[in-house]
Amino acid sequence: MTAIVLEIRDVHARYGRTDVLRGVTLQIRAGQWFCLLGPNGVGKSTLLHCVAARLAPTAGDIAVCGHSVRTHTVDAKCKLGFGCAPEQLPGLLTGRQCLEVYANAKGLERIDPDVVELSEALKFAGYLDRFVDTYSLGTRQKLCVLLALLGEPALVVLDEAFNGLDPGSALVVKRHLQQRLAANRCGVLLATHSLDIVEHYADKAALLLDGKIVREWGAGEIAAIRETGRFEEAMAGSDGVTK
Amino acid sequence: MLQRHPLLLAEWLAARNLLTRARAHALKVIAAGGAALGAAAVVLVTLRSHFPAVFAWLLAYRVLMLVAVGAYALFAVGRQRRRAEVRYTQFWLAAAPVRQYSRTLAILVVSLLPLAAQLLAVCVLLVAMGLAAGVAAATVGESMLWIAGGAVIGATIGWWSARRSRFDALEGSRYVRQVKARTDTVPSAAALSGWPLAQVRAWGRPDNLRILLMVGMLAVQAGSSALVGLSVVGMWLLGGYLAGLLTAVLQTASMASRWLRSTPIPFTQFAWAVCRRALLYQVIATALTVGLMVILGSPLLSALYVGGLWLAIVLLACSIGLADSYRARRPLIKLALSFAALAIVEVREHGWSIPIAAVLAAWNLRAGAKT
Repeated sequence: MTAIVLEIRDVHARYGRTDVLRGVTLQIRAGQWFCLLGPNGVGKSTLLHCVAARLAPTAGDIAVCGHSVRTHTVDAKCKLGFGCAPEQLPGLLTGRQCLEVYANAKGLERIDPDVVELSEALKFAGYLDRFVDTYSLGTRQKLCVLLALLGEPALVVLDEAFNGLDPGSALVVKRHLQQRLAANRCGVLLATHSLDIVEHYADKAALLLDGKIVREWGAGEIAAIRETGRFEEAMAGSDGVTK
Repeated sequence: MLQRHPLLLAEWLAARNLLTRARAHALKVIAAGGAALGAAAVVLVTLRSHFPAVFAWLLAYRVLMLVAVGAYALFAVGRQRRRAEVRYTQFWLAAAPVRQYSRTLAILVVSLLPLAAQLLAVCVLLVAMGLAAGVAAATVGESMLWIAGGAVIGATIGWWSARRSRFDALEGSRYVRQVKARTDTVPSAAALSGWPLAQVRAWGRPDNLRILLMVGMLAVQAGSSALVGLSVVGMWLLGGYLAGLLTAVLQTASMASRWLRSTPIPFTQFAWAVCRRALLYQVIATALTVGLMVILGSPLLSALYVGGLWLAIVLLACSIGLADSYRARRPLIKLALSFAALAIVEVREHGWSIPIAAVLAAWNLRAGAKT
């Protein structure tokens, strides 16, 4: 049995007076690719921000590799790789500087060789010494993924990370993540609308509606759906999706 | 009327929704507004003995004031018009069939509104100063007329002069020195310390610098020697750079903390990385400014005191900005209250504001480190 890299227990969160998460519970193990699905505005990004300690839950707890993000925030963040939104990248730093600062912030002594390899595979090396504000959306997205993978994180959290990536680059990132997962180096939590990723890459998936997980699919169910290639229909059968 | 002008309608709805949203935090808004008004009242009452001299000075240099306000209005309206033109070419209604005159009207309103609001604020301030000090209404009215006249003339010229501008000045890094290409990537926070400096360079594009240069040149008295003239202009440029650098540190702290919030970076490392080069540049530029003040005839001790006071303000502002940004809080109210407190202390007990600023800075840094 592989280690649990993320444990979310009955998490509630709110923005102002609006309850966004109303008791979310889920678990991810090393080697698992977990896809979080749901329509716009149901709290997927909010849940990811809670995992990354960017937003404090109003109730419940989140543990990354056994470290609570509330009480042992620094330990939890050391095990976490969070892909920030492309618009949050600093426009007046170069890609190389972003990597250097992020690695330094995570206390690394050097940039991981496989991140350097991935940057070359993504054809990002030519952009390393350019300012981020000159990047296209896809190039920014590549940098976000590279930053998330720095420092051998046990949990990689990505929010719509394939938006804006060209199909070739998206495939490179997916294969890289699969390699890491196959070696049990990490678990992946991906918020996405892409059912294609769920069908072909996910080991587990969950549907978030109105701040609650209303349906979970295990590896066996996803494998069965993969045979038929009809995940949309499987999802439509869940309460609330068709409403 | 707004129904016939979609761009104005969109702007109006956005502004109205913003106000509606603020109503949800009515207590906070009222408390903040009350605190700001209270602080302004305290400052007004504390400084009221100086106001008659301020009005006398304004009327003695009325032409200079007219020119200075006109120059400000010229550049402000010109800049707003250029921004509005760019904004409406990328607006969500850009593809809608909006008539040209409706678009021009929207740009006119959006360009003039900030200046009108500033003018109104200045008039309210002058009236409050007049009432606090018992200055004659005619004196206050005359000062307001000169300021309003300058604003109207400047705004007209600014609107006209910006009609055929090139709209390519929005690139953030356009005026920032290109970074030398390297082959190695080594973990280091050094780039964070260069970020505020890059931000100041990005702001220092010619259309911003020319305002500062013009104000500096207007501040040179007729008949001054070349050395004095250059020193005055140099002081204005250095002053602008110092203020810009301080603002850049605060902005960088906010943006960097948002970006790095999911990493385990400690506060001391974050704060030192963001502000160390900016602080060094502040010290160097302040030393140069002190030197220029001495050249212009200011006593050495006074010049040193002004330099020390500025550095204390920088230290206080940086500590509040860095600590609050790191703790995911907004530092604006704390900054405003701290500056108001320092101003009152400085007026009451000359010389005490520097140690008080240092103590407040240390207290803020400690709070950040305890996070």
